[in-house]
Amino acid sequence: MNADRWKHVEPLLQTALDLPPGEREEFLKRRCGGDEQLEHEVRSLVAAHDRAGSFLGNPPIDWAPLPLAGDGSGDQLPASGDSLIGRTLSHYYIVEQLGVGGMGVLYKAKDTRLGRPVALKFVSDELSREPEALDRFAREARIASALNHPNICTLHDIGEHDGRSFIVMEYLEGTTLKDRLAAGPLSLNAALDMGTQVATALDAAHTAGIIHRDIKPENIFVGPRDHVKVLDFGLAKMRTTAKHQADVTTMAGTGQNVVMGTAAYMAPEQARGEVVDHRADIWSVGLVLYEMVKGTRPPQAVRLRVEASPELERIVSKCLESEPELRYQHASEMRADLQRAKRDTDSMATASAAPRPAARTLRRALSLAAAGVALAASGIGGYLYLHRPPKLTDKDTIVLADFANTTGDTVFDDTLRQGLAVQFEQSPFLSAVSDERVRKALQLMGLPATARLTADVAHDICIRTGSTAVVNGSIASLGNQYVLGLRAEHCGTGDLLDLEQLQAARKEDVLKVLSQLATTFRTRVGESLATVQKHSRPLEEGTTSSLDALKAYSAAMTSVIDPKTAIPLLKRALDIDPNFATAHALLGLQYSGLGESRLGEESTSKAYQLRDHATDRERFLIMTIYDRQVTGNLEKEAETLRLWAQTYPRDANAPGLMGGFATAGTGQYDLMIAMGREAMAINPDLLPPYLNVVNGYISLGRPQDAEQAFQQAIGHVSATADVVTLLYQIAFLKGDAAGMEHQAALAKGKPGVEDRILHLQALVLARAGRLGAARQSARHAIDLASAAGRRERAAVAETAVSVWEALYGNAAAATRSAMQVFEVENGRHVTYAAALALALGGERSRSQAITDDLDRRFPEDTSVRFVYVPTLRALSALSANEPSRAIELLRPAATYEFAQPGISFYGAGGGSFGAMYATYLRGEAYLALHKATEATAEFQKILDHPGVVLGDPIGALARLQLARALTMSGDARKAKAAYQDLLALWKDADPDLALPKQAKAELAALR
Amino acid sequence: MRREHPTHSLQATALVHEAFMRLADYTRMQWQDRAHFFAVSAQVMRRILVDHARRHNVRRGRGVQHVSLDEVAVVAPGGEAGKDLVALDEALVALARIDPRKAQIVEMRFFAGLTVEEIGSVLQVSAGTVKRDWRAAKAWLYRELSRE
Repeated sequence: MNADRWKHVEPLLQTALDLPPGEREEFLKRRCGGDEQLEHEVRSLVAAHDRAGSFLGNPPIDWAPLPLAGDGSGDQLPASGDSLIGRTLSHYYIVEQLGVGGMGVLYKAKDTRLGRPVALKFVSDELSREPEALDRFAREARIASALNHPNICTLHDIGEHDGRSFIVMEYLEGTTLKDRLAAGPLSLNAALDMGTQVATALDAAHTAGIIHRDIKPENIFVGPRDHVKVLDFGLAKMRTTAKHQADVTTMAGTGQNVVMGTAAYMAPEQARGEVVDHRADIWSVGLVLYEMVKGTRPPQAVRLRVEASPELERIVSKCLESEPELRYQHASEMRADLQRAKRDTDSMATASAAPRPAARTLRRALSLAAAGVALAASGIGGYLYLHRPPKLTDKDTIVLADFANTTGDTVFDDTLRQGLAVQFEQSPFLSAVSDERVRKALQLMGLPATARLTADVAHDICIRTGSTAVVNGSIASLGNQYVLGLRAEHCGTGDLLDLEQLQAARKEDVLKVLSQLATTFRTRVGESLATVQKHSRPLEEGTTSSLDALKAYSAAMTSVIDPKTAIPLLKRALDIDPNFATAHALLGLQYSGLGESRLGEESTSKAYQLRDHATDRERFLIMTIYDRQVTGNLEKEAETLRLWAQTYPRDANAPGLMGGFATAGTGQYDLMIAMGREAMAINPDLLPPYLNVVNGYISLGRPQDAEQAFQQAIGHVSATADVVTLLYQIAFLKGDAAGMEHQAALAKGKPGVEDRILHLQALVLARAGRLGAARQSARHAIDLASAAGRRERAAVAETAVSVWEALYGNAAAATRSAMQVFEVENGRHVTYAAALALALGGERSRSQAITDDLDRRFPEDTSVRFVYVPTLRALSALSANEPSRAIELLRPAATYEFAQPGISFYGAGGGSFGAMYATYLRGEAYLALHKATEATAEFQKILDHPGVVLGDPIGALARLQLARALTMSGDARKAKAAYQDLLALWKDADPDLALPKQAKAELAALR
Repeated sequence: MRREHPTHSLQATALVHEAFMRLADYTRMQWQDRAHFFAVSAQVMRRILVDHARRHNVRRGRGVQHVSLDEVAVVAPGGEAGKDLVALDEALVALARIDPRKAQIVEMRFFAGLTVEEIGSVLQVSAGTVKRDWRAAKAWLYRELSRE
């Protein structure tokens, strides 16, 4: 097929797919107008579409590592169908055959890696030849793996042997309800109890959007102490809104007229082949409930009687309403009714027994709650006392599961896990798996990033991320009180590490109790008492004592990427608890992210004042942000970061932050790279260190190394902002014009990227003396940034224009442009750049006033102290014909000679210009003093640091001055070479530009 | 009910991470930038995965295969996953000749795992367009791969 043909075919295909299947044929006949070939073409595509099912459904990046050849034991396996007993498939040793079900054969096996028993389910031979059955099999696996619930059979893995797929499931001891019922009906109590468990399982599944569609006694497994697990979500399918129903059905590969499920337990609408929803499951449970107490299925069309319990009779009848609207609408409602019925039965039983003393009842209730909280398989308690629990080491990482909140009070959702995380983060010993890692693991598990970290999901994440333990928290209500529990389990061995439980008398005490739990937990799992005591500020003192504030804060943190959502939430948290230091700090960051520097500084200062109300780690963060954003004191910031790294050696953020502006702003690029690498080693999922390492190599003028470092970043694919900018700079350093073009083309039309590239292009054009084109590019950048509300970024681009106009001698244009910048309020970095343009253009008095102001307002700021003020003052001295004084004034700048000051690296998006101006001025001063050698050395420095200077036009000017200094020194040969180098750079310069003409004349004079 | 937002997503650490992004001033983590980055990576990933599959096909012997859930699902018109990937790659080249955008969408969605919305943002088209392109591309490729 060629492209033209496709243009005819595709619209027909699309329209056909929009039509109900029944109408497609007629449509094609009508629209193809007898063109049989066309008709055939479209029809075959429609057919392919319908058959495609889950084809391309999952990116190969999610696949497990492709296998190596078998290890010998599995190589010569008997042909499918033969017994597999005694064989090892992958790392599963087959112990015995358990049975043959509708979908295939079931074996008991042992997971030789984890040492636990598992069940392996194979697709039967006949089915394995049907792609549809395989599909269904895979779907079962996928769906079951998305469900993690104590009452749903857990799926561990999936494998393939000799072309036959198998599922690895939790191995269950017990029997199916079907077998159990074969021995006679259940007691009312047992029926209510098991019914409740089935309803609980369905509630979880339905909440996850999954319908079972084949609930029957065969699929309900009864284990020890009547613990129920629902099996075989094989026919289940994702519930969707009615609108998408048709689509999904096709995609799921379930033919529209194929009825799935077991006829006897099917809801009427399901039997009719209609679209079903979760209420079909409720019907089926009704039948199962009836069968539980009666031992047989109910006769058709007869009023159901459950003599043992009128309440159960009512429940069953409600389930079996033929109209779904009249049934229970949610499994949770049914569960509540079943629980009520059970309670009534229990209380009747209790009433007939001898009355118990109240205290004893309470104690019993407590221990019941404890059992519920632990949720674990029974026998754990005994284990705990018999064995000394193993400990963690400071090499281990842990996974925090979501709290199981059975109180019904949503304020505890998220909040408690957040609180626990804050508590654990105080510990230099514990290290929780990063959220990036959790997200990646979820993705690999086929779960959305927002999936709840239930105990089982957290367990899988623990295994997948190579972590050691999983910590499950829980909260349950007990009358007016709350019972909080923590349970840590070694996820590889299943060993219990710790089980803690405490009661909170009031809701207000929950956070306090949580802090206590966390502290005890830390000691129990092996942290030294010394560090626990040193770093264990209770939440109510450290973070906040308010549950509601913590709740708003948790919510804000989940939306930290979007300031518009985060800001109101943080403000809410602060309304509730105005002393919530970390919330202030976060708010400060959000504001500065929006370019609201002043609001940002205000909030950050507030956080700083309140820093004693923070945990140690939070305090380190607050102090870092404060020095970075408010004082600008990079030396102090680095000190905080060093202390942070010392106290929390397992926290990647300390070296990570150190590898950013703290090192770039002081010109320590080797350290920048080293710190970035250290952060990467601690947490490979943190992206900024990768970019900082790239940036470090760029600054060192090593584009090849930068490129290599960039490849590493790609390996850790994740979000990134200015990749294009970095690649552009690498291409620039390599002199790769095509590469620069390529990046610019990529940036085109990308908000937040295009304006930056245009700005960089403008600088490079100005450097080449093509001021006309440079202005155009800059204008475009400024317009884009302004339109997007990025005022400061627009100002940075504007100051770049004014600085190069001044350098090229267009004083009037420079002043005009700089004055525009002053019309609005700006941060210190932009203010400096504009003042620099004014000073270069000869506006001495105005620039002097600004210099004094900067000096007064930011006495601690590293860029201001060591770069801005010395540069501006020296310029002033130079224009007053005092070169010696200028050299004296520039002395402090030598401290951080090769730094990228704020305007270059940090200020509002990084201007990528403004570095090494002090060096340039020192060279000029030496020229004015006729000290040719010294002047040559200064200008040469600029040429020797292309990674720091980048596209800044100062690079061109430094070449001109170098040529002049060399001329002055009498080295005509070198001077000529310098002029030629410069003129090559300026070969396409605007014809009316004065400097290139001057340079040519100076070169001619040398000859 | 499911909650609206992820609980695991940001503890203080990740918060610092974000803070860090800002401080290092790699500007705000823009949704578009992210999508763009993925789009660039899609090609790289395709090449790596297809190359891997190619090498793997040569090496591959019989025996126990340990495959993920997803792999089972992708083996569509029959055959082994690795082979399919190579064949898919070839089919994609053919598709790119008649409809480059659709081929690109497959690349981004299948190889880089971009969401429909992200793809829409990269290509500056609506999510609806992406979905329609996707289903047509899927049908076309499926038919192409079923022909042996």
